[in-house]
Parts: sequence; C-alpha cells; structure tokens
Amino acid sequence: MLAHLALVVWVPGCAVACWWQVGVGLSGDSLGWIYSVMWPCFAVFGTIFWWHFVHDDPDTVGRRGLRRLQEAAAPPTVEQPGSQGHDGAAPDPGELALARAEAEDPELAEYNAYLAALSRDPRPSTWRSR
Amino acid sequence: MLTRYRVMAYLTAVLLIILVFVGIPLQVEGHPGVVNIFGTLHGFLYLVYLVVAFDLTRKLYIPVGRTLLVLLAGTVPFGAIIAERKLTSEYSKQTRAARAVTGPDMGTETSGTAPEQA
Repeated sequence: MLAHLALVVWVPGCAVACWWQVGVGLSGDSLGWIYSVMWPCFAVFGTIFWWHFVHDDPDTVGRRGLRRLQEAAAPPTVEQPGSQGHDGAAPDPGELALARAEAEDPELAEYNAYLAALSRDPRPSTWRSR
Repeated sequence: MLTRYRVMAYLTAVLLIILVFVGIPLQVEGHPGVVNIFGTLHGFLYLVYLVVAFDLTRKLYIPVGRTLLVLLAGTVPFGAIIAERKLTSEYSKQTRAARAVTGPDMGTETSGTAPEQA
C-alpha cells in the first residue's frame, strides 16, 4: 500500500520537477534542459522499481530469497555421498551439475525456486497480496 | 556484474564530488562552466548507475530498503563510495558461501572468471 502511495507521489513529483526545469531552461540556463530530460527518466525508473516491488515473489528476493537459495543449494552436496551409494543408484550427475550451477548463478536458482513454488502452489504469492 | 557496478559507482561519486566541492563554489563566484559540464555528465551517468545498481542489488538479494539507499547513494557526495564498499563485501561474502557449498573446484571458477563476464 505504501508502495502505491509512494508511486502516486513520485511520478507527479517528477512531472513538477520536469516542468520547473523547463522553466529554468527557458530562462537561459542550458542545464535546465538536461534536467528536464532527466526527471521523466527518474519517473520511469521509479515506476519500474514499484512494478518489481509489487509483483515479485518475496521468497525469491531479499533476505528470504537468499536464505531459500542457500537451503536449496546445501542439501544435494551433503546428501550425495552417504545416502545414495549403497543401492547402485549413483548420484545423478545432472542433478549435481544443476545444484552447482544454481549455487553459481543466483538467477538460475531464483528461477528454479520460482518453478518449484509454482508446482507447489499455482498462484505464487506476491508482495501485493500480503 | 560487480565490476560494471563498481566502475559506475566510482564515476558518479568522483563526478559528484567535483560538482559539489569545485563546481558549486565556482558557480557562486560567477563561473558556471564546471557545473554545466559535470552536472550534465553526472546526471546521465547517474541514470546508468541506477540501472546497473538495481541489477546488482537484485542479484545479491539486497532488501528493498537497502536497495533504495544504494540507489540514492549516487546523489550524495561520497555516498556511492560507501555503497560500493558494502556491496563488494556482500558480493565476496556470497561468493565465499557459494564456494563452500560447491567445493573448491567450482569456487575458483566463480571467483575468477564469472564475475567479470556477468
């Protein structure tokens, strides 16, 4: 809710600032023209930030995302040697490679965590729905 | 990923320091040239800084509040330098943690080639 309010304040604020800088530019200061281009960019960036804030699954970003990544990366390497050696089912090299790739590439892990969340719950929770 | 953020952080920081501590006093004295040049440069580089910093904070799982501070750091003299120190230590912390999980063979690869290319 606070995020929506912030955006509602931010975008018109940028528009006002842009208009103010147009006035500065018209009064002869060329820097005003530069900043009158800049402020709409800040408005757009604020909108992008808000969009992410509202739509991201909180389990895949921030501290919770990191904790989840660590939990997802740790078990396979710990379990492999002892538990799967006895019945001839050798550690699946694909799974091992995936765990390593995930630990190396947070984006991949994030995506896989997202897929896992999707398979558990068809509607992933977002910051908006809390 | 980290390298390009560090480059942008230092660029915006140095330009802003020049702008504030050299440009503004000169403008007050009636020489607006420095402010015009460095103001424009810092303005556009700050936009690039925003994009690069936002990308890095997401990859490092930085919480929202701290992300905002990192983004705003580009507008405060010396702020971007402080943010760069924090994010770099966070990055090496996470790289070390990933190395502990994946084993030393993958770890050297992670700390060596991957960050520069990402």
